[in-house]
Amino acid sequence: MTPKILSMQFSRSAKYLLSSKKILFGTIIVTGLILISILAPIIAPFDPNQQNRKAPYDPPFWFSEGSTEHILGTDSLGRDVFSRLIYSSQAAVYVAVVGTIFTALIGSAVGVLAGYYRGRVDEVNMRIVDAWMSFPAVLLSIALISILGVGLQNVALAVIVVDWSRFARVIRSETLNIREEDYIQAARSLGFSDFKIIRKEILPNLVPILTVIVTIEMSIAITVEVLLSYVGLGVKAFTPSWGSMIAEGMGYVQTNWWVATFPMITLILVILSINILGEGAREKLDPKIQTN
Amino acid sequence: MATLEVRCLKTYFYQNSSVTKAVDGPSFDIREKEIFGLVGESGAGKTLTGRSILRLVPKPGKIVGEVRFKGRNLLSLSEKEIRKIRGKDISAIPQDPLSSLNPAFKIEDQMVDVLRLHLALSKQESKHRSEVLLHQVGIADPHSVLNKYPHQLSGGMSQRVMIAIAFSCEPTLVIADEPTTALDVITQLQIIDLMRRTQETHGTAILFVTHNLWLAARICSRIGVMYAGRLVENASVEKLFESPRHPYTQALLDTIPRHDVKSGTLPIIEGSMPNLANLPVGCNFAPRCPMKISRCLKRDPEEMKIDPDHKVSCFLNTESEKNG
Repeated sequence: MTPKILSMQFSRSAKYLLSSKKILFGTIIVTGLILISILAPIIAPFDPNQQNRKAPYDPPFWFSEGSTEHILGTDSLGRDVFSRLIYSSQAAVYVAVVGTIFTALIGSAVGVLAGYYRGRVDEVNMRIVDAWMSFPAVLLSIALISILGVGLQNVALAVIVVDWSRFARVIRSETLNIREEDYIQAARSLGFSDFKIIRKEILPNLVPILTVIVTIEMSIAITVEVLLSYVGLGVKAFTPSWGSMIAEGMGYVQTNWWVATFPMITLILVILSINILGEGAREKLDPKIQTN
Repeated sequence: MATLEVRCLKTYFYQNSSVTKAVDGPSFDIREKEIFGLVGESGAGKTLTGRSILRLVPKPGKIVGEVRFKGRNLLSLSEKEIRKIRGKDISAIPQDPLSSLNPAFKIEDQMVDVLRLHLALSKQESKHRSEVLLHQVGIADPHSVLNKYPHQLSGGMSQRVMIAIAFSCEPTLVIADEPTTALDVITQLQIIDLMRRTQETHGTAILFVTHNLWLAARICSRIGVMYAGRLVENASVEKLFESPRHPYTQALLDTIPRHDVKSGTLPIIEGSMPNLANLPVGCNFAPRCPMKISRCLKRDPEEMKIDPDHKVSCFLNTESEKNG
């Protein structure tokens, strides 16, 4: 990536990024999602686990049998679908945030050190990464959950354990490119130590690529959470999740379709938005696409 | 004692079974406050000589010899010690200024970083000092430049910034590596003049590395001519231009375009530099030399002193010494 392009991005930063419709759209949705997950207790009309055996399978409010009390209807145990939908965002956001942060931290640390120092450090780290990536992700995560038990923390752990190596590869590759740049050489000739160079010259110039892969990672994290919850290996028994809602609702989707459909729609919307955000970020920041 | 005394500097690159002798034994002095030029074709080893002095040679390269800076042999210092010297006692002006600045930070941040690293100034003091430094290199509006990012500067402007950074910590020696090659001709002259003025003000010595002999003559007091890793001639500018003693120097002088001679084609030097991993037996220039004698293809010529200020490595001179 030429220093000129990187330099342009830093000077325009926020304005530059938000000029992309994709980034704008994606950011709004993601911010909305995070807000919803934080404000869930305030927004949701019902407790997500509050059962009402007397009113199961209530349809959404626009049906005659429905009511505005449960705007999206109820499930087999009379739990409010809308409230469960809102509370499920907490599981998704938790895994997306925690999983991504630690994957990024571990993956970046390994990647930067391997890419900057090369030699023995690089070889050892990359052997580990290669070996790691040969494990099928699905099996690895299922095995992990089987050993550690269900729960959001373990789901986040599964994401980290599986994906850090992919992260490391990308960061290492980009670091290799950056360290060959003239300004790294110039910094050395001015007397800066390796540590200072990594801190002030390598890391700041990794921000563009990091932004891109972090958004992708969030999308992966949420997908993993939903899939694991769908098969019952994700959230704990009474925690609402789009995955578990879909699993439960699929049992009677022919008749009471809303229980499975609304989480599906929500999920698709969220994943799509994050992917659009990532695509927009890539268009604006990824060196290989930049032409001007 | 000269500020810099280079003795038999050798920078060899060891790869598999081959050895590339990129810098093959030059010895020269740079005196206090003088501007010494190191001139040669691309690949002659002049840039690498400058890098070897600061010990900035990439991995398979190994540096041996002596590089005495104010009496201390730089090659025997620890990594920590040489880092203290880089940027402070000996600094460098790079070839391409635009790509030598960190794209992630404003100019002010980068200049402050250097000042705080070597001079332990406060942020406020560093900011103020940066403004003064930019003013000294002829930037009319330092404040605006300080707040810009590297890509927002022109080539000439960014080279002025690099010069400001190079002189910011009052170095004793500045290694300028083709500082004007990336610039247009008019800016080149401006930058050269700026360097001369700055050098005079600060009393710094400069090692001026270039392939442009004409440019070197404008600013240097003495010039060393390098070919295939070796120093073939070393003389004051006057002596070098008036009575060049090495055929390569003579050929280089012939290639300088002269506006008063409007004849046909520019003379060129036939052939190309030998492969530094596979040097010929004898003088490195002999294969291309129009005046070689049999001895030139058998042994390496040794350095000879013609005058106190004129050394040359060429058998032709030994011959004339014998005869004359």
